[in-house]
Amino acid sequence: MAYDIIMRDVTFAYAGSKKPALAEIDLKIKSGEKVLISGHAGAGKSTLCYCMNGLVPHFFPGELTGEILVSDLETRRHSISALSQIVGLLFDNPVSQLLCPTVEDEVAFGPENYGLPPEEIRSRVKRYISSVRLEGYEARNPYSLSGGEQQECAVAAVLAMEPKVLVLDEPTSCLDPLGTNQVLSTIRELSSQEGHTLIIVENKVEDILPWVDRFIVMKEGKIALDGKPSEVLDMAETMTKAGIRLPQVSELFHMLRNRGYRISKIPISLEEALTELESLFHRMRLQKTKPPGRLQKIRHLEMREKNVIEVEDLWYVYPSGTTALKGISLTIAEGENVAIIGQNGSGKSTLVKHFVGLLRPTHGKVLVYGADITKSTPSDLARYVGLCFQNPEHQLFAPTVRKELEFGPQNLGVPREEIESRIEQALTSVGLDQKILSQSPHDMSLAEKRRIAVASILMMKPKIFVVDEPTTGQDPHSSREIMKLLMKLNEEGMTIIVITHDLQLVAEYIYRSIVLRDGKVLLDALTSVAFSHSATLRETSLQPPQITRIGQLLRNYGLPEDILTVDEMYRFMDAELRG
Amino acid sequence: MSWDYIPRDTFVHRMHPLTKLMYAFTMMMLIISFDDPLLLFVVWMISISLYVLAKLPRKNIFGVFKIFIAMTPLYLIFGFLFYGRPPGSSFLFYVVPMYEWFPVTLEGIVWTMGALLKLYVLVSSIRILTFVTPITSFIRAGAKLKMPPFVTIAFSIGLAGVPVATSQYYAIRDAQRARGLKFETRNPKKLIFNVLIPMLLPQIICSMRRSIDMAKALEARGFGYGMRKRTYMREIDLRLSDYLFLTAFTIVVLLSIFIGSWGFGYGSYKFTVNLIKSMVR
Repeated sequence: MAYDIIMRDVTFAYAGSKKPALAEIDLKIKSGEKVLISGHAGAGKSTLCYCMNGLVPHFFPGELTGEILVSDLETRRHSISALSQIVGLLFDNPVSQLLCPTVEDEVAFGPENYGLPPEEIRSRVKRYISSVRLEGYEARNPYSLSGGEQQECAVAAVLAMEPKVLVLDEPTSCLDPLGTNQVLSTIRELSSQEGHTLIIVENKVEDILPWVDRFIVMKEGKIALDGKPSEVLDMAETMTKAGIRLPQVSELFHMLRNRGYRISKIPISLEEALTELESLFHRMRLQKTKPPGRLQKIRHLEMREKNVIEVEDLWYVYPSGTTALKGISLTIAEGENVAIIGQNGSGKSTLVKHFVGLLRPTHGKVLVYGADITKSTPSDLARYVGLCFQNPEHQLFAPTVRKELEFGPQNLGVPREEIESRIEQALTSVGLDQKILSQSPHDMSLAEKRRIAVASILMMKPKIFVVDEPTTGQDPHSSREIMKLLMKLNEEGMTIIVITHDLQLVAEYIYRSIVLRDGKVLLDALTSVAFSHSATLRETSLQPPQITRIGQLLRNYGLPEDILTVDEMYRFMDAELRG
Repeated sequence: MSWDYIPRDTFVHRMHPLTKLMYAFTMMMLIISFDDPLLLFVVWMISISLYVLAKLPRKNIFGVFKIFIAMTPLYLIFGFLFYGRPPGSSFLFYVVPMYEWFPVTLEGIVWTMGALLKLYVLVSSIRILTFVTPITSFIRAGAKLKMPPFVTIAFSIGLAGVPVATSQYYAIRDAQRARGLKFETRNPKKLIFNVLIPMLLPQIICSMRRSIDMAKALEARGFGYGMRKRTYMREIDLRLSDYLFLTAFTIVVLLSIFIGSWGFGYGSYKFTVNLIKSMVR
C-alpha cells in the first residue's frame, strides 16, 4: 500500500508554549485518498496541515518529536520549498495568500520559483486557470475578484505546482455561500479528475462528507475519531464533544434512533436522508397523499409599537461609481432580532453603515429613533446604534482590556464613575471574567477578541446592536455561543441586527430575515416564511438549511415547509409517526 | 494613484518598459533643464499626444485633466506670491490694490506658467506609464536587468497589496468611528492618543499578521527553492524600435543637460518674457 503521508507518534509544541498543539499523532494517508478533518478551534488542525509541508518545524519553530514522512521524505531534513512540490497547501484566507498583481502571475508564481521552462509555465497557467473557470480574468488584479474567485485563483496557483497531495486548510471559512459552493465544486471536480490525495480541513462538513473517503475528528491536539464518514457519524456524542456540528440529517436520525425507531443507517447527505425517511414512512404506513402540515408552534409577528430604524427609498453610490443600494425601504421595530443575509456585494454592510452614520444616503432617507442620520455625526449615533465589525482586530488597539473598554464611552463623554460601573456589566454580558481587565487583548484567542469587541460596543449602552458577520472564522461551538449572547441581549430589550452567511444559525436563532440581492430587498419576512421561499432564495444562491429542505421535499407526507430546526422536525415527525 | 493598466494594441503599449521609463526620465530632464512656458507647452503637447496614440479612453484622459484643473488655481496663486516683485521686473498690478499686497509682474506670470506646465508634463508623462504598461512588465524588466528576484518579488507583492492595505485602512477607520472616535481635534495630545494610536496600532498589528501569512504562503509556493535558477513565464526583449527610441531619448537628455547648464538664453522663461515685450512694443 502506497502512503503519501505517514506520521508516527508526532507531538509538537510551538516555541514558547508548554502545551503541545499536536499530541501522539499516528496517521497514514493513502495515495489518492480524500480525507476530511474537523475539530474545534485550537484542536490542532492547522498545525497538522503545517506538518505536512514542513512549515512545522521550519517556519514555525518548536519542539517536534516523532517522524513525519511525505512521499518518503523526512520533513525535518527537507526544506519547505522542496516539500511544497509534493504537498500543495491552500490557506483559509484568500487575501493573505495572493502575492502577485495579476491572476496569471499568481498562477505562474510557483512554477517560476521551481525554474520550469517558460513554455511549460505558460501551458500550466492556461490549464489551471481554465480548470478553475477563471478564463478572461488573466490580467485582473486578484484582489479585485470576489472572495470565491480569489480562493479559486489560489487553488489554481497551488495546482500549477502539480503537487501529489493537496492540503486545504479551511478553504471556505472566509467565503459567502456562493463562494463556498464555487470553491467546493471546483475542488471536488479537480480531485476526482486529477486523482490527487486530498486533505480538507473544514468545519462545515455537510457538503463535503458525501464525497470523501475518510473523516477525522480532532480534539485538543489528538485524533479523537478516524474512519469512514458513516462510521464516524455514528459516534454523535464524541463528535459533539469535539465541537463539530453534525449534518442536520445525521442529527435528526440519531434523535429518531434514540427514540426507538428502527434506523438502519445514519445518512450523510440529504439524498440519503430522503430515501431513508421514505422507507421509514412506508414502514410506519404514513400516507403520501396527506396534505402539507403546518407547524404547531405559533410564530406570529408581534405588533411592535415603535420603529427604531426607518429606511425609505435608500440609494447609495460609492465614489467609484458602484451603486451598492438601489431603493431600499424597510423598518425595524424596537426589540426585534433581524438577520440581514445575502451574498457578498449584495449591500448588507453598506446598508448597516447608514444606521450608524458612517455612510450618508445618495438618495432617500434613514431615520434612527425618528432622527435623520444626515443631521447627526457617527459619534452622536453611537449612543443609539452599536456596530461591531467582522474582524475584531480592526478595532482593538489598547494595551489592556480595561483601556479598550473605556475607549468608546470616553469618546462619548461618559463620566469616569459611570464608565467604571459599566465595565463589570459589559464583561458579565459577554461571559468574560474581570481578571482579564489588565491583560492585553492582542494576546487572546479570536473568540475572546470577538467578545471583547462586543463588550467594547456594549460599554456605549446602545439601544440597537448591529453585528457584522459575528461567526466568520469561528468554530460551531463559538458561533453558537456568540448567537446565544446576542439573543440574551435581545431578551433584555436590545434590538439586534445580525449580518451573517450562516443560514443554519439564522434558522435557529433569528426571528426575521431580510434577504438582499444586488442592492435590493429580495425577501423581508419571518425567517420561517423567508426560508420556505426556496425558489426565491435560489435566485441569490442561498439554500435553506437541510432540515427545512427535507420538509419542503417531503411535503406530500405532511411535513411542514417552514420547519427551521432539527428539534422541531424531530418533534413533528415523532408526533406524526406515533399517530 | 492606482495602477490601472488599460490593455490596447498600440505601439505605445508595445514599447519595452525600459524605453517607457527612459521616456519618463527624458521628460523629467526637460522640466529640470527648461522653464520657458512655450517650450514646455510643446513638450506637454507631445506627452498628451501619446495618450491619443495609445488610444486611451476619454474618461482616463479627462481624469488626468481633472488633476491639472485641481492643481492650477492653487499653483497660480503660490507662483505669483513666490515670484514677488524683483528689481527690473515689469509690474502689472496688485492682487489687493488697497494695501498694495501681492504684486503681479509679467515675469511672475510667465515663470508661474512655466512652473505649472512643468507639473503638467510631470503628471502626464508618469501617469501614462500606468495606463500603457502592466505592472508585471516592469517586474519582468527588472528581472531582465538582473535585479535579484527578492527585490522584484517584494516590489510586486508591495504593489499587489495596495488595495488590501487601503481597504484595511477604511475598515479600521469605520470601526473606530463607530465607537465614537472624532478625527477633528486641535489638541496635539488628543490627536496622538485619541486618534493616531487607535488608527495606527490596528493597522500595524493587521499588517504584521498579514505579512506572516504572506511569508507562509511564499514558502508554501516554493519561493527560495533555487533563486538563481528562477525562470519567468514571459521574458521581454528590446526590439529595434526600442533601441531607436532609447537612442533618441539619450540625445534629448544630453542636449537638455547641455543647453540647461550653459544656457545660451534658450529654454529660459526670459525668452518668452522678451518675446512678449517685443510684441507689445
